[in-house]
Amino acid sequence: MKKARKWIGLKEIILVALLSALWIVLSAILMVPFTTNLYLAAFVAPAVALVVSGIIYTLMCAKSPYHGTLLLFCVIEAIYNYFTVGLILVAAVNVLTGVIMELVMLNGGYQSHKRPVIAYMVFAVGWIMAPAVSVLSTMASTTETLLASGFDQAYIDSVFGMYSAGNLILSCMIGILAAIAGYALGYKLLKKHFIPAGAVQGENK
Amino acid sequence: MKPFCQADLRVNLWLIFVNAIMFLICAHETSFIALFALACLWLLLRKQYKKAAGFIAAYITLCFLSEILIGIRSLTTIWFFTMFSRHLLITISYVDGLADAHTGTLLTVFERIRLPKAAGISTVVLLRFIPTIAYEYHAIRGSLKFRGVGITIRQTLLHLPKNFECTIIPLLMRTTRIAEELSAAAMVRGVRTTNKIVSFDEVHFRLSDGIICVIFSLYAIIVCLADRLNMLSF
Amino acid sequence: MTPLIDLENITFTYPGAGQASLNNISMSISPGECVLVTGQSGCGKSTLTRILNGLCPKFYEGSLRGRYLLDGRDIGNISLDEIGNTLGSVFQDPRSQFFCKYVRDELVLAMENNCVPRAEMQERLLEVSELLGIEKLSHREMRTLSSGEKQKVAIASVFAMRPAGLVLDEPSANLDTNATAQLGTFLAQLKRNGHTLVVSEHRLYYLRDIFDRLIVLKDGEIIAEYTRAEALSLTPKELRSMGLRMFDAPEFSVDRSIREYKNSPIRGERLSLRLNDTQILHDVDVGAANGRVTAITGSNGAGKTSLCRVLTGLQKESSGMVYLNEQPTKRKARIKHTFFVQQDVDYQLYTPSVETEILMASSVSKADPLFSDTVRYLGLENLLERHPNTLSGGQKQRVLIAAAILRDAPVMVLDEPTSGLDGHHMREVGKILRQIAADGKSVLLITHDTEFIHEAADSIVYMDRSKVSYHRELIRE
Repeated sequence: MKKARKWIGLKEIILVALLSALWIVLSAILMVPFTTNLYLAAFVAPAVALVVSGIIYTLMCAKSPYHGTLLLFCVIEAIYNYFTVGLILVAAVNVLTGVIMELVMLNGGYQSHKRPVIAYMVFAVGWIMAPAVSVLSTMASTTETLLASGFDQAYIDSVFGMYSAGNLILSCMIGILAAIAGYALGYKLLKKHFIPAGAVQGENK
Repeated sequence: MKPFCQADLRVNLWLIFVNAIMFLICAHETSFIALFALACLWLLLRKQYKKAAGFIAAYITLCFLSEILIGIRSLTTIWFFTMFSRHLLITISYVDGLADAHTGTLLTVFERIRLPKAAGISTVVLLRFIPTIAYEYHAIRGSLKFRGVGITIRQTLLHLPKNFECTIIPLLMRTTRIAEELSAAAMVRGVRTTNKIVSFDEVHFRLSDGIICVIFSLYAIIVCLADRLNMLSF
Repeated sequence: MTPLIDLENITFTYPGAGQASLNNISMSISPGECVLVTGQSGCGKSTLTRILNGLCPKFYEGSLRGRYLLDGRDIGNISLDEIGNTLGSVFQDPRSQFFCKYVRDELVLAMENNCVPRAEMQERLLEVSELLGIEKLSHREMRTLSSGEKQKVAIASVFAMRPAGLVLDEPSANLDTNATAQLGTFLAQLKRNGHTLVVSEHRLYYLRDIFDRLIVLKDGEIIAEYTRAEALSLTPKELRSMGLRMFDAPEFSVDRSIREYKNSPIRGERLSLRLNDTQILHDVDVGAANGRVTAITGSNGAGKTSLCRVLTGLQKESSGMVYLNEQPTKRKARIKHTFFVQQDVDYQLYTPSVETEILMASSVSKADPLFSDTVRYLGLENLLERHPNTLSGGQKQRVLIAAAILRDAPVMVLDEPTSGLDGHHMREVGKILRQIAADGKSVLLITHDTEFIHEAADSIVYMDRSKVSYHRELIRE
């Protein structure tokens, strides 16, 4: 009797790479309208992207239910961030997120309904925190620039106020809710289109 | 036109890494200008004159905008953007050449730096397919118009969920089909996740590559030290 | 002589399928032989090619029974790439079989992954480039190539491994007449050089001088096998009864020139289009009449699709004007009065059922007799609950034609509607389009399919290098 395969193969690698490419492009486009305001960019934009791109994530988990899928997805995000904008910290956070997601999916996670949602919530937190980590890491240089330009500490605090602990926690909580909504929407679209089309195995076969 | 400096891809990767570290350490704008100057030199060595000129113009424009916007609270986000983007120009300069790298060369380099082949294959697929997404999108949106959907921007915005569903579903259906066919075509030609490959072009980390890495790294380190010692604050 | 390919009682069933896709297939192919495999859509041709190149069941899961020996070795003991080195595979869609960005990378991909020594790679690269006449394409990006060029690159990349044979799955599906002729010439040369060829095809005419045997499949079984002489002596009636296309390109000629487009439902006057420093259309005057089917043909890159995109409003012209019923019309209005069925149907299916797909954006309801009449006429009545993506290519085309009919656009444009269709379905589509035209619509077809032009068209617009060379009435022999 053939042993069930556990790990991602070439077929799934290519699929995950293509779906990740779509994810990257779609989330970049969705973020654009919000870039005029830092609060919208930090709170609303990631939530919108997580909800709308939920179908890509859901499809990825359904089409490639093997270990390594979500890690590869995050590694591709990391490669993209590293090679396009050189944000090494963002890339590192992406990879770490992928590792945690895979840990969540161990022991039958890809065959369950709940754990992909949890993994997506982990992704949401990681995705939101990654640029924040990058901004906070350059806080020193930005602060010096502003001080050198003659601005006072109050103004500097207002610039970085967005990245206070409270705001970051709020942003993560919104991201987690968006992840749940995104997965739910994605699963709805999966059942409506991809399962009847035979592109994905249905539950009740 | 062959670039003067046809460096190994690992030089690009190293320089991106070095600069990423510099961004975390350096504080003064003059340090970033010094790093940007080095990045422009890199472009010139690769005979990317137009790109270098464009990047210099962009850098100056972003600096200028940054100066104008600083202090205007309602435009803080755009100010942040101008600040980050001009620093990102440095990294983007070192990325030059990566997107045009030959597939075999890219996979070999990934193998040499001990990254899993899955990462290399994914990068190749990303480079191959990201440019085609726009074509796929326009083909879908074009056809939708004949079904009375998305003819005008107003209509699109008023029926956003429907427009989204009608766009993303065929895009994803196509993508899953392409993935399957592409994998089949790759596998029958011997592409595997476990095999070693022999790249058509020789991949050697030459002495010249080492010299470039050392010189560029030393320069970056000197800039960083000067920055930390406040020698570059004006 | 040991056969290169030896199948014995091969039966293959995809997971979840009610019946086998291939049933007790036995065939033997000797080295140097060219076997043409044909049959109606859904007969199992593609599955057979997948069995031959090992993709079933190593890639496409399913249950395989029977024995397959490749060059005397059991296929179960050979890996996919080893099979690929003996029997190279060329797939139908050039767009989705290319892994690399550049032509040169695609040509050397198999060699790199099979660890061919570098010096030998260079030698083979030169050899296959010269063989296929693609030396100048080496540094180009894949996405900039024409379909014919892409197909050549696909063949060359497989050929670089010097396989004993090739399995080709509908290689001419996306090619124009010239490229198809070149493909035929190349395959003839391969055969002369002793290579084994297995070609799964609908279009038979370009292979008439090459093949040794014809195998006809139906419902997963071999229903007929002919030697070349026997196959070529089949009458058109016999070929039609099997749902096949003809071995001879149809005879027709063109007659009087059509220059006058007054009272046309759609016409373009002095249309020009320039994109990215390239002249796509140059001073084109063209029109189509109500009640008629106009075929637009010409080599790849002549501007056929761009012309129709301008006429239907998908693309803005650089200069010139489009008239609908003699009124100059802007793009958005053109879109409302036309319906463009594009070549790739996958871009045009949006809903989860055939029924909702047909009714999408139509003013007609399900209860309307027009809906039931249309569905019945197009043979879709049993498919209404199915998801459009589960349909065959021909069925998907008919769904889109039904949507076009219900949208009631006076002008319908179809881009290569018979690409990949067998003879039976090609003739069906021709009949349907002629009926649509007879109902008063104007139908424009972009096509390379000469058999289809013969079946369906009233006039031909021939385009060459961004201009209309002629627009003439078609006379069938």
